[in-house]
Amino acid sequence: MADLIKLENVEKRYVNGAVSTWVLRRISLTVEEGEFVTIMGPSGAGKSTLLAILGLLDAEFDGSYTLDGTAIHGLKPKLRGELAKRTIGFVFQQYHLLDDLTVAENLELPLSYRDMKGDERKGLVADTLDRFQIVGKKDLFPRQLSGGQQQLVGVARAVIAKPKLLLADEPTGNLHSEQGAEIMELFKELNRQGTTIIQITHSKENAAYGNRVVRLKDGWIAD
Amino acid sequence: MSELRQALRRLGRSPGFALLAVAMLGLGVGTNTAVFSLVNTLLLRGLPVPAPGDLLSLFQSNPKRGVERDVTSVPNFRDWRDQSTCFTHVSAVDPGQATLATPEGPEVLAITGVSASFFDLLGVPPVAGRGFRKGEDEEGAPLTAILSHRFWQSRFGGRPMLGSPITLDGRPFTVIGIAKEGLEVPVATDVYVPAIYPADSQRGALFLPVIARLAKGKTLADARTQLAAIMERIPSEKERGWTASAVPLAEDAVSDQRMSLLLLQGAVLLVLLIVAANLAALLLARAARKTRDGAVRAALGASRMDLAAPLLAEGVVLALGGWLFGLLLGRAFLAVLLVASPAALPAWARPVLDGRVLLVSLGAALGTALLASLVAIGQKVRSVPIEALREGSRATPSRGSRRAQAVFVVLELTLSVALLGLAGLTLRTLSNLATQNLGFESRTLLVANLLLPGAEFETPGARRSAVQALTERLSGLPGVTSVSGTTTLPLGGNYNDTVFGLEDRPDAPATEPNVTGVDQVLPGYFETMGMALREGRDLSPRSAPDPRASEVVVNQAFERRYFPGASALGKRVFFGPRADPRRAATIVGVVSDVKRESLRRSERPQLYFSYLDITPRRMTFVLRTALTPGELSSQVRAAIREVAPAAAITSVTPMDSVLGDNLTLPRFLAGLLTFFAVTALVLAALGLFGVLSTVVAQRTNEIGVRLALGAKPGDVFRLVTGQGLGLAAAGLALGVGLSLGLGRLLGGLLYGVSATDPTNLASVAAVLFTVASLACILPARRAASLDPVAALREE
Ligand SMILES: Nc1ncnc2c1ncn2[C@@H]1O[C@H](COP(=O)(O)OP(=O)(O)OP(=O)(O)O)[C@@H](O)[C@H]1O
Ligand SMILES: [Mg+2]
Repeated sequence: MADLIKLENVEKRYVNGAVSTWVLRRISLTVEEGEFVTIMGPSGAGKSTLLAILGLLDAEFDGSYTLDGTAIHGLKPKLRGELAKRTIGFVFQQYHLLDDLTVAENLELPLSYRDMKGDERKGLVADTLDRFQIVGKKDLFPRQLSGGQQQLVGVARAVIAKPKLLLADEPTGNLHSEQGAEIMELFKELNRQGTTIIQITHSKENAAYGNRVVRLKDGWIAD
Repeated sequence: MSELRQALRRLGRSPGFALLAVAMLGLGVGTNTAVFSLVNTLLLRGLPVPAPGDLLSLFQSNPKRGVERDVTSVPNFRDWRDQSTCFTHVSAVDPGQATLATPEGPEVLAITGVSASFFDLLGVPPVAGRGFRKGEDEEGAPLTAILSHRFWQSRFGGRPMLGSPITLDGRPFTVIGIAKEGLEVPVATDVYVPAIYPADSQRGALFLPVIARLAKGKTLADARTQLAAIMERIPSEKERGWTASAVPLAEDAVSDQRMSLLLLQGAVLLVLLIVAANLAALLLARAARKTRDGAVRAALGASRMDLAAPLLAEGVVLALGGWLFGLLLGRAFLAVLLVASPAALPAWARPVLDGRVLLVSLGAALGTALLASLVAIGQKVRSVPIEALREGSRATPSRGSRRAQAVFVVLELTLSVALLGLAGLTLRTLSNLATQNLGFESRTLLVANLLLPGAEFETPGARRSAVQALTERLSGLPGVTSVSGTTTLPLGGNYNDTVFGLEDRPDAPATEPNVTGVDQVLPGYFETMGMALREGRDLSPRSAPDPRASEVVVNQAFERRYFPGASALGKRVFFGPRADPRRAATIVGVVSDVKRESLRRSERPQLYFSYLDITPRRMTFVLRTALTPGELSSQVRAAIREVAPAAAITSVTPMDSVLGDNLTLPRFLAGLLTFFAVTALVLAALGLFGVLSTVVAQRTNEIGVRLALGAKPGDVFRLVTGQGLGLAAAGLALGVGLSLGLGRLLGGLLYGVSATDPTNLASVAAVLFTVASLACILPARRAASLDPVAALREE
């Protein structure tokens, strides 16, 4: 299978006045299309930082990163944005649904940033609501949903634009185990249908849904 | 379009924010619309005639004698008219008063004597009838008159008047036309009549204002060169030292208002800037609450444009709302302005909200709203999404956005301080003008203006005895302590100058006369006015048997200027046009100076002759009263009608209201600037209140921790107030600097106060800190009364 992600000697530091703190050290990592990778490690190890770099939310790093055949370094912000739009979907620990949009509107949000006609968008939203079995909730606002339901919408929103790569930072961190397991089943199903997934988790059970674990410690990949 | 619809929907969901923003924008746009419509009418559109820029006011000057600008004589006017090639037309515009005979008795009108070409010169023919024809302004022509539209409506109810006879000053005129409505150029007029002057009019008798229209292709410079050349060629000895020139009439017509208007326009632009800053702070606070939303959107693929577009759309919607509200407010402001001080504008200037005003106000609204939106957009697009995502669901605005809000509040405070400073200076100017020593006592003075028209008052003897009989009758009125009279009341809006010579003065020979103010007064005038007789005596109560025996009283300024260090008593003055040595008067007294031409202008040399020697057809009686002067006016009218039914009463009014007319413009300026400064201060106070409220809301947790760790409510109160007053202090420091800079531009508008006046600055500081403290109290109280347990639980 083709490499979807290739990191070579990626380094990240924060400069604060004269002090610079290294957060990621010489990260080299390859992820093939169709993999389901879990990143684990103690708090402060740099997991979220790495995920932000992978998700093209953070372009200030050293080393080289090739995503889906495109080298990130030197890429103009606009093109980088285009690449991210084409390739990546995000799931957050705090769900990050927009409070004043309904479930359906939240789902439509990523589509509104892509060139897609209105009725096409509506169709895709309807399909997705169907597929995730949340049609009945489509006109509710996020605060009217339980945590698990909100994350379900979060995942649906992350995959609605059919990204190749799904990035999830502790997607079950705010859920109790039963709800968490549901989300993990969903991830497994998405992965089976071809979506590459990289998730961060502290839980061994969740890690078991994936096919590979990468351990981070103090910014280094621990073997 | 759908962006705008969505923006409208979003704003509808936070109506409080939307209304506040529209109200602020409306206030800024409204004040700007009102002031700009004045600027547009007076300075941009100009006189209501075709090609107003081609109209010139011609004048003569004598730099050597310090006469910068004077009207001209009839012979000079004829030379300019006949010898120039730069003008299509040259016309006299001789303003004056005349009495109209009516069944109810004589009525005083404002008339303007104009040349036959006047209406062609303006380029605005009468709307009914015709203009004057060539020859109708020459001696012997049948007398014709053209009514102003306003006068035609108010006096004759707009009924057909063409061909009708009217009697002006006892002479029959035929109405031949009605001037166009609103054409009160250059001054308000009831009736236009041909300006007819005798063939042997004197050079040197300077009384005639002249206007002209530039011919195609000619410039102001051409006109000036040519006028100067014409003056050079005049052989008369009397024109030595005199030259002629021209200025645009439009400039001339608004010279009093120009500076004030520009200052007001500047002031309302500052108000608009404050609105922009306030709106920016408001938008920042709103955007700050949505930082996470922006980050989520960015993570879901929103480009910068995607993020900016909703904010821009909201800006446009707010701008349109603010514009519409501003137009309404602007119209209301304008109406109030015109009602409050109608005399502040020339009669021809009737401000309307025309296309240009609408466009400019739309531009102001859009500019302000978009400027503010761009600030919020800049903040939003710059914020790093991952940070906001990592911080979790708690929406903590970045420190940068909080700092930006503080900067805007300081900017607002700075601008309000500057405006307060300017307003303070104009208020002090107004009070200095109003309370200064005028040289006479106005409070218990009643003045009655009369004209003595027609055949009944044809001879000096008839006028003299009428005036004497009137004086006697008025003195007998209960409550009147003394009565006298003058032909030119100080600050009454008109005054005469005369040329004169001094006997035995080589530096002022009779052929190079000096110019001085001149007035004809009745005996007892100085005492009635409350002026002090410094030397000598009053004019004698009898008329002089022959002109060479006449008497004159001079003021102290005259004595200082022409007899420095010596007494003027007993010296002889030659007077009249060209200081005729055959007409002389002996100085019998010296009186204190009074303000004569304007409240600002310092006292000039002045001659007082006896009305009994020279008897013009106009007379202003001054009555010193023991009662409130206004209470007497109807009795005074009745007494005049009884004694001299043929006399025309122009007005009977307390002297204080004459002074009030002199204060119209300064009061207009001070009133408006104060209003704008207060508006600015209220906006800035709202801004300060907003920032402090945000800070308190954002620091609820921190304040809870402080309270839990033992801080007393008083400490928390001081923490918040300290922050607010710190911002106020920064605004004050910057604002004082700005105010000093702007104050210099005021220069000529100030009177008796300098831009650096410490009292003014101290008052500004006091006002600012009072208002700032008020703005601090609520947020500080809220912070101090937080329940630490609840505050800590709050996420
Ligand atoms: N803006 C910043 N400036 C300085 N240091 C930062 C900044 N953001 C993160 N860090 C540091 O980078 C390190 C890695 O943070 P990161 O959020 O990636 O950890 P993590 O592995 O996701 O931890 P957790 O499991 O708690 O989420 C931490 O030590 C953190 O303090
Ligand atoms: Mg993390």
